[in-house]
Amino acid sequence: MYRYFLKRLFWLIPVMLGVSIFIFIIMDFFPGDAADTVLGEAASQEQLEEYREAHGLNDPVMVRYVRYMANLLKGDMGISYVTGRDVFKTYMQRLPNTLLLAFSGMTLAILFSIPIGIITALKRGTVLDGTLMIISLLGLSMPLFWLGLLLIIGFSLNLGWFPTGGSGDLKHLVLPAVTLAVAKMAMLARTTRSSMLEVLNEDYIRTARAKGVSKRKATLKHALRNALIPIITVIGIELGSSLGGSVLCETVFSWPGVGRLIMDSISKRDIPMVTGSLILTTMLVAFLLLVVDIIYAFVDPRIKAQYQRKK
Amino acid sequence: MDKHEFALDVSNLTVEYVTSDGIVHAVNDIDLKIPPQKSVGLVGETGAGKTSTALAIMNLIPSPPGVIRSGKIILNGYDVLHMKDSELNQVRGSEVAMIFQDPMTALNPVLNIGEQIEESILLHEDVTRDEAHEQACEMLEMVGIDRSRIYDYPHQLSGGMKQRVIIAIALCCNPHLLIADEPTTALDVTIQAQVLDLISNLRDEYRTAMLLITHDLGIVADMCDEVSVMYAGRIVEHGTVEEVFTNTKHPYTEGLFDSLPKINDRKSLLKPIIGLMPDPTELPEGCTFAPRCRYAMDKCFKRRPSLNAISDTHEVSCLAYEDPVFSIERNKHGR
Amino acid sequence: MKKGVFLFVFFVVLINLAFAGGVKETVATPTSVGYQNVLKVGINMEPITICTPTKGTNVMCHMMSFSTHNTLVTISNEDNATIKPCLAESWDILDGGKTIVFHLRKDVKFHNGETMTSEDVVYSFKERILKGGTSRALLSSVVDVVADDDYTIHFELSGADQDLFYTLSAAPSCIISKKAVETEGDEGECYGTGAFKIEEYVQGEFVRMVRFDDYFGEKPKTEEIDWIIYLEDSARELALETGEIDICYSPANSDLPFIEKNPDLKLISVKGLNVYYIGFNTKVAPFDDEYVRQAIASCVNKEDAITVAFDGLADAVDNVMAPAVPMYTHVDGYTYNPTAAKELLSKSGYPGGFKSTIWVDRADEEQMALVFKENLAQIGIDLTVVRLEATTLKASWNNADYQMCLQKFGNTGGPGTSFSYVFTSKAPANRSKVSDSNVDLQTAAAAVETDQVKRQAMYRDLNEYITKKAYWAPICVPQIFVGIKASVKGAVYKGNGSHILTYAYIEN
Ligand SMILES: Nc1ncnc2c1ncn2[C@@H]1O[C@H](COP(=O)(O)OP(=O)(O)OP(=O)(O)O)[C@@H](O)[C@H]1O
Ligand SMILES: [Mg+2]
Repeated sequence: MYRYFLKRLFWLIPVMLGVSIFIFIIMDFFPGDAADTVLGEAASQEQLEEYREAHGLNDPVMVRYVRYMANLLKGDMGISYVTGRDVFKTYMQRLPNTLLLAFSGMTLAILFSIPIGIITALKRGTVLDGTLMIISLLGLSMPLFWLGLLLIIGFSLNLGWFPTGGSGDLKHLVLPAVTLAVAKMAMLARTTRSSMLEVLNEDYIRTARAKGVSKRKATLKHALRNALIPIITVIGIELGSSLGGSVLCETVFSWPGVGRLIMDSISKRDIPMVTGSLILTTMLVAFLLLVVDIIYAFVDPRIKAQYQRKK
Repeated sequence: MDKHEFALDVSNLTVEYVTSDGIVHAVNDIDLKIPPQKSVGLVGETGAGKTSTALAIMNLIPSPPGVIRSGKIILNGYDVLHMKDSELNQVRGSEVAMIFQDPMTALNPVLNIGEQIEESILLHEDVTRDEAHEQACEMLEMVGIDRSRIYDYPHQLSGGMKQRVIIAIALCCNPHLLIADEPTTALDVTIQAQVLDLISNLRDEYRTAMLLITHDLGIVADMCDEVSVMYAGRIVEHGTVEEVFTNTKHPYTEGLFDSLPKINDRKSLLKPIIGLMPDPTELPEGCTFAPRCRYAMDKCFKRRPSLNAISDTHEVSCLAYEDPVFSIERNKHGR
Repeated sequence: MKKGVFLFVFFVVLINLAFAGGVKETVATPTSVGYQNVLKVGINMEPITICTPTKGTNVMCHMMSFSTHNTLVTISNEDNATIKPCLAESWDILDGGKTIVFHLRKDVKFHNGETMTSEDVVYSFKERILKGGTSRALLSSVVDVVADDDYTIHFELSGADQDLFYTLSAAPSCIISKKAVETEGDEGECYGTGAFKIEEYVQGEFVRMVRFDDYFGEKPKTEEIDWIIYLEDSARELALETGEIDICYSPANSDLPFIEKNPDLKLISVKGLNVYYIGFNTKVAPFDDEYVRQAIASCVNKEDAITVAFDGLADAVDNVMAPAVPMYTHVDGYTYNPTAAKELLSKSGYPGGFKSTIWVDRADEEQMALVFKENLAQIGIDLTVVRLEATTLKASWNNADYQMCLQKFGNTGGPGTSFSYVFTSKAPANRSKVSDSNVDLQTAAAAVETDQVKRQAMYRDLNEYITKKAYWAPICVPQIFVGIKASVKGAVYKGNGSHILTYAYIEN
């Protein structure tokens, strides 16, 4: 099993190669380059050319790519065209904020949505089920931006409990995390519900009940664990997507995460920053998915057996 | 111990499923009695309501959509339909245990078999974890599986082994009544015999009463003392195995026998019962078997027969016997 | 199972705490007598070049650099036109304006402790500003910058550049420490001579500036200015309402009523400098036809556009020069008159109209363009509005399919910039691709005209010529807004958005 996971880690290398090539080609495809964005309106044609020459922007994509990769192999992710700062350091400065927001948002979402999913599954067809599902549909379709502003007006302006934005202590975290959680909760509650519904109809739940296992225990011990696979999958995907940063949430709450960094860098055509950030994010996500796979194995012995066979 | 007259006493049980397509009349006003330590067979073709009856006895009819409309179920003295959930949980597994139709799906795939057996022991007996574990190992050996496999997960076992594990779970708390719902249907023939042997041996040992659900009359003959024949949610004939087999009364029971291959006359054609069971959402007004019955008369379509005693132990539900000279074909020619 | 859930939650909480612990907290220092220690300013974009001010390209960086860096001369806050001494205490204009000698102050210290000498000034210009600096294009008249002694330098110019002083007073022409840049590289530029020094810049979060005690000028009352980034306009305005910030840069028009209605807050509005205009690719048909451009300029309903895009909070303009620019003289331009527009178009080679596209990159531009699409349909011009991403647009001016654009231009320099930046054939932001020898000659002549009355007349003529030729169809100049706590004093609000907050303070 460990060999299987080692192999998965090894696969990260081609993935990184693929990601970086992809980014280079896509970024090349976009009109405009760093010279246009860094030098500003006033720049003359000669200034632009000078800048391009100095930063090697005139070289063909492949040349730039090979040069980038050569540096990357030496452990150098380059410096940002825009700020002149080290890409890796810049990313690492933002990453803790993103992880903090992603994990707290997800934790909140999990704490609320899984019980909601279970309750609605158990009370399927009742008014409670209907109400909770409509609420979760609202959560799913509510624009994040709008929700964020609503929370700021309610909790910052009217109640004065939390700051409107920025990062710092835990108080700053509450509103963005709640906003992010609401969006993720809806999805997670729905997945939990449908997965639970499926599992609750399984024969082994009946077997457990026939043994004298209470409904509660049958649900939590026998059903939930079986229902967990799709839930974990969704958690993994949602968490993975928030590792790339949640641009909307970061913008509304002035939260300094990697999402804004990547967006800014893309619009500034800051290729080293974009490529570096995306490679690092991809690695993080790949690592996360690996962790998800390991969790699968703990939850479901059949999956563990598959991994063992795959070696 | 057996201070009660019956291990199971079901009367007037009616089970319905309320679905968007209409109300499924799965079990219609049936009575069923099992004396202590006796074994009763419940036969009928698919959809007759056998599993529904069994689930009702455990008060485990899935709801929604299932509803127990009426009836009284006394299980070794316990009034199953009027008990609190917590009390019911004590009865399930210890007073009555059930072996389900499909061993492939009846075990929880994410728990090892040891945990699944121990869970039952821990719920009903005052033992420590270690003792429960030891008992589970013994139980496993009793059903013929090496105790070293106690940590195996269901996916690591064959179908027959799974069914053995299920039997182990069912019998580990020494219930007074075992409900076996087609315990061998999903298994291949050679294993079927082993599993049946296992059940009857264990039953002898534990002196457990049994409701054996099957559509295989051969198994009934081997394993049961009495038999109830069920058709479209009703019991159409009940008697000792001897009575029902040698003195078959109901045309439907006759049909069941005719559709069996005959050991001593292999060349004779199988005679399946023509037609289909009526749609349980729209049961006909008269005798539910009338549309398929070769003896059916006008009145059969209009009036619903009731279960009438023929002897102390033998009952049949057929209007034809209002005519005292009536006899079905099978009895005319003898066996 | 239960244990597993518990462990998971525990783990997550632990991570959270770990990170939360790692994030730096702002510690409030005890208040000094009389004034609030820290002034918090909510800004709307990343001040990326704050540590390399000579490369500053956006107004945000310019605004912030004014607190940390100084220029040789500065523009009067009263009339926004008079040139006043700053790092140079006086200057002599020699050779009919071709040589300018600056006498530097002797008491100027950089934030790194170095004393400013002519060496730093020469280095700032020759190695930074004139090499890759933002002001470079506007300093094309500078031939050389020479140190005469420790505190005297002179500029050698190719002509008597009258706008030079404006350009020298702009933030990207600030003086930086030679030693700092030579030892620390580009970001050594962060050591200025200003009243505040940059203490910390956390990208994406804030810039913290603290008072520089060796500042040569008047000491600010505020000890620290925190410039905090709130990208979302409404969130920034809400932060002002909750009191998290004292000054809210550029609140959204839709949020202005909240500021006005709040007795603790005050809304500042200043006449702006950004001219929104329609530019034409005059190199291609039909926009090489003067009548076509004039017809379009007479057929756009500016008031409607202002209502739609700026909630009415902008002034319609019909001159290519913005009214707030020094030496502006109003001339008659084209106003909304569809009948006249029809007539003009009928004189053109395209009397029945034509199909065209107009490029925009911002939402307000798009809203206006959609109004104009309706307007122009009246004279048979079928306009398609295309909104491009900002950088894509910047890179697309030379594409063959460029026809019209709706853009803005803000002149933050002298009057000449209103022409040399956008209308001369070599102008860097010549979106109309104007190549008109009359414009080139007149602009060049005005730039070196030492008689200021004559010079103003020349700009009036240029303005009139270009306005009549309709190289642009000028639309409007939006007002500049700032939301502040009513108690904020000492700030200077500028039409170019580059407010001077160095002396802003709040009395306790
Ligand atoms: N959950 C349910 N919802 C709706 N209808 C059901 C449900 N369970 C059973 N039924 C219906 O009730 C009737 C009796 O079903 P039951 O499972 O009791 O039959 P059975 O005799 O056990 O058949 P088999 O031999 O196939 O197991 C059938 O018509 C079936 O379709
Ligand atoms: Mg069944």
